[in-house]
Amino acid sequence: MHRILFGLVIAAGLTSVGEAQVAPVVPGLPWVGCWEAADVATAEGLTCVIPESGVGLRIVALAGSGARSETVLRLDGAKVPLVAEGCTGWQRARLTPVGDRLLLDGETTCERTPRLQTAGVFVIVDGGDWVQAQGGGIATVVPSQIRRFRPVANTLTIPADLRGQVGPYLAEAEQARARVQGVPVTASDLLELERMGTPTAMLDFVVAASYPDDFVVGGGATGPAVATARRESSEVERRAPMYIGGGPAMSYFDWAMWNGCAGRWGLMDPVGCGWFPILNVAGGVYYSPYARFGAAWPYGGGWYGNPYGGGIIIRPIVTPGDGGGSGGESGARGGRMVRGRGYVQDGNDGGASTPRAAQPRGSSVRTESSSGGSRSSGGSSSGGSSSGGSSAGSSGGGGSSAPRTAKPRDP
Amino acid sequence: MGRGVSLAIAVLVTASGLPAQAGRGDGFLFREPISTVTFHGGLALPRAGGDLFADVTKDLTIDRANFAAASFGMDLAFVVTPRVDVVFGFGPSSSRTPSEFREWVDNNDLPIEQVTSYSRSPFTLSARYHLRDKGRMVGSFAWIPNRLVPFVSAGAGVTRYRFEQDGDFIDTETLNVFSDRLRTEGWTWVGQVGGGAHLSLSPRVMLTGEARYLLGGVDAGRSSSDFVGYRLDLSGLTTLVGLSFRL
Repeated sequence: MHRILFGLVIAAGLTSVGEAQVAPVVPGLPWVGCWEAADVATAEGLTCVIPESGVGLRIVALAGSGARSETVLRLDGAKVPLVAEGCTGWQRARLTPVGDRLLLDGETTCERTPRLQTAGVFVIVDGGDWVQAQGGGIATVVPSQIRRFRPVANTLTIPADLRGQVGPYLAEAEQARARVQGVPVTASDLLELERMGTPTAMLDFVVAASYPDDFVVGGGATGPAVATARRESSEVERRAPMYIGGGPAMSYFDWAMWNGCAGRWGLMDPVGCGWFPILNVAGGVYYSPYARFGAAWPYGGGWYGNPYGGGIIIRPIVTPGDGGGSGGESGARGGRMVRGRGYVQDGNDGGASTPRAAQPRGSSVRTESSSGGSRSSGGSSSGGSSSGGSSAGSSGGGGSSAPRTAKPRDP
Repeated sequence: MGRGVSLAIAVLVTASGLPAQAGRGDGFLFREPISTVTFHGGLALPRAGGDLFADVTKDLTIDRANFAAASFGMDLAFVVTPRVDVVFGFGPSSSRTPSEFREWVDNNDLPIEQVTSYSRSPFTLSARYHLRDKGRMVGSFAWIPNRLVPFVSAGAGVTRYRFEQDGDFIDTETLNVFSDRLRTEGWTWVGQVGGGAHLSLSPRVMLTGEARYLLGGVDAGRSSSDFVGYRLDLSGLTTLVGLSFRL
């Protein structure tokens, strides 16, 4: 949260500084411009995002019929209260510190109905398109719609008045998009998003949108937006059941509540209990009565209803292919170590081909190999296994045939 | 033993499911890892207790510290719960120490030399309990590891042991010097306790430090007539540092 606040402060500071410049830096700059739907075959209408000085972004939605609606998103993270016809709540829009993701969330409570949570995430993906996921729910937020928009290629299709408002920002906005597009979400980003209270489903969307090589994000308006996964991972399916199955995982109660709200307000739109049918709310934020024109202003229409059918499906792309004693060998030359006795040669017959006798170190009697046999005093060692030999056997003969015996070392 | 070790490593690597490793993002994995493979090295410090080591270190120019040896091995851990892993471990160590009799020389005043080799190759199955979560899921597709995760472990297994002395020895009854190779080797049960910590270097890689204490001993004469009446102490501390890879 501190990072967000810091980002907002910086953004606000930059904005205030930028006011004295020719091209002020605005929060949410990557989204500034006019957009058209990229996920429907016949896109109708435009959505223009215009910097709103001191507030955030002004969203102007142009329906295919020419109807126009405006919405202002405050990006300072403040909860904007909503009050209308027995329903109360709030909404909030926040920008991540680097400005590459826009988070929206809110709550609405109508008479005799549970509190309804809503959330959305806007991401600039690789290629500069704007992809968003949005959804709602009572206990948890369930994504119900995903949309994709691209910048309007022909600016002449933008009404002249809007063209004049977005025109000064288009170049910088495009540069801003180039900076943030496709920037993969990091662990610290996710932790920050989590601290901001981003619902699990939206976190998943952010991850999936950041790693298109690893996830298929589909459903919503036009079904899978990326190539079909080569093979689904059953493990991940189990972990994320909400995405699998093709439908918006909403309960009957959710639908009943929405329909009830719509009926009470006299609206035919099934999203009637959402935010956007609200005409005028406190805080200077205005919402469009034309919320049903979801294709024009993507955030407004179909927040819950997912008018195009299918839910959001996120699937990982999985590459093929993932998916007692042994008995030691005794010495052949006969010997062993016996507890209490020390080393003992089997048979005591000097099995070595060149027998030698041991003598204590430092013994005054030196056995000369050429002098024949000799006896050496066996100085005892400090005891133990090698002690005790008081004399070494001698053998006659000289040269190499002389037995090797031990003697005590010189002190 | 070499073939057995190679086979064990091959089995562990194969069983680890290396091809099934999770994808990863920047600072996180797309799922919680299901296993971890660790390649470690360190220092094995045998306790070298008991009568066999006592006699050897008394008669020969060997100290207990001479049995310290490098240890290289690997572990394969499977996640049981967020904090508990089951770990198959393998960590052989082997020392080779030249020596001579402390108090005796031969009749040519030459030292009576031999080489003592001591090796242990424990295969253990342990339960490893992490004192904090290894990481946590953020959403459904991001598992973020914790930076430092201490752990303790306990388990049991078998060890291949080998104690061998090759060289010249003194017949304590005749003082004749004879050459021989005395050996006891085999398999026996052991216990193991340990503790350490994982330090995440990346979502996939951890630096692992651990101290393990092997508990065990065997009748040295069980498998051989070379050491009669002795008990071979197989206990000892091993300190390890290694790299662990989350799979």
